[in-house]
Amino acid sequence: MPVSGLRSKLFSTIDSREPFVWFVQLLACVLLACLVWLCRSFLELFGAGGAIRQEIFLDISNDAPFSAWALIRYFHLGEHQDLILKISYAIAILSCCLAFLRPKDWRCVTLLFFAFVFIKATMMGAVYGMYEFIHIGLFYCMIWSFTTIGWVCRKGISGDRMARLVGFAFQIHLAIAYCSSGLAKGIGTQWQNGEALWRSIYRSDSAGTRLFDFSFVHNWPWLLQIGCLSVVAFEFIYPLAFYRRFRGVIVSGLIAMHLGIMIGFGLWLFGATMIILNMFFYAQARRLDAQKDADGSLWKAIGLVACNDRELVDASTA
Amino acid sequence: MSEVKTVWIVRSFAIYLSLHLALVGISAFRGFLISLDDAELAHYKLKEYPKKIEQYGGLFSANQGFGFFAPGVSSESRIIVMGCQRGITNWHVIDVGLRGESQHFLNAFVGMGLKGPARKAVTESISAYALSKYPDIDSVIIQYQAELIPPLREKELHAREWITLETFFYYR
Repeated sequence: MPVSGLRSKLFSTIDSREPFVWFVQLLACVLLACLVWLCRSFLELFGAGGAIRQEIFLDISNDAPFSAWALIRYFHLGEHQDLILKISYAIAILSCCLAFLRPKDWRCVTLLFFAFVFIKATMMGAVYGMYEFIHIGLFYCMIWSFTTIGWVCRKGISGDRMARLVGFAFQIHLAIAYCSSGLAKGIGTQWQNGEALWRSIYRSDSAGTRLFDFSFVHNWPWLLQIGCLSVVAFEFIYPLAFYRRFRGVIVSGLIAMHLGIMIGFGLWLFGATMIILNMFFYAQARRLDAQKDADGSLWKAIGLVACNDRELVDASTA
Repeated sequence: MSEVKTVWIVRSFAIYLSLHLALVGISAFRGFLISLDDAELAHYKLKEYPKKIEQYGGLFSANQGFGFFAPGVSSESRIIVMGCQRGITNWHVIDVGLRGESQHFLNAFVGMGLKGPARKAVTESISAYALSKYPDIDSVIIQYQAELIPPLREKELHAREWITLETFFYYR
């Protein structure tokens, strides 16, 4: 199939459905994969006889009021630690399945969000970037799901317009994340001379998740330096992806970077999460552009300025 | 009905999301200041959010900095657990049985800069875990290690090296 045909097929698939629907489903899949992967040793790490004792978590659980440790402390449930962890784990698994099957049901999406936050807060201090970004994605999914509740739609605003508003907020959040990350990296000498990428590639694979060893790139330091500078540049200019002209290059550049992270560093779930977030950014931006072209302004497209009759008809038939 | 004013509910969502994003932006800026590690800016870092805002940010993911791997990439940290059987003087490394995502967790926990009493508490916990998992082990040595990564400009790569930052000893 020619490239243009493949491209149009991909875009028609992306555009054919409400982006939030597949966004919820994909995030639920990644989270489910993570929970299944963690299944064998969840209790070995956090359980009553686990590697990290209950007292350590109880000491620092003041910062996480919505966690198993807070529950144990407030209700004196220390002896039921394993039971609480098993129940919260089971609820998280169940909520992933429900959200995947019923992505438009606000109760399922809200359950998924809070089940995830509970598990994340319970694993305090041991979570890394992937969990933070799933958290961000699920937050906007939950807010979107509230806009599908009947009484919100009946107020006269189509769900599609509300989805664009929430999606636009998500886009700003992701742009802030990338831009500030690029800025913070850019001031480090390691990112200026290529050392950061080299250290990331050379670091030991204690988790055993890397399939390839790329330490041979040591022979081409200039390549690593170009790689580092490209990462910093792409992240820093991410807000430009709001403009049609730059969007394709920036989003595909960052997706390529996250593919590299998946393959090179073995962070499979983190890479998958970030690719999903970027795909959603792209799909949302395309929908917003199409609506902007029809309505004539961004503020109309996201529903902040008066709607027209067509939108009300959409709402009444929703 | 040619035109209808935007209803209050859209504005409520928009105002809420704007406030949320403002908190996200401020937190990202604070995260950037932390990665600057500049003494003159230290007073910005020390100012904490009010507790309610902190809790809101934690619950809805609005109080994070995004300086992942910035300004530099740190070395891999690990914990080595060595056990010694009763009556035998040879120490051998114990496999605590954590793999994949669980190992990511333990590394994140170890690598988050635990120092002093917190580090001691974690090692005590892991030693208790190792002693209960392996009943034939009488005493345990736990080492906090960091990987020594050769600089990029070094001509030849040598075998991987780890430096021991701290050692703890426990027995039954």
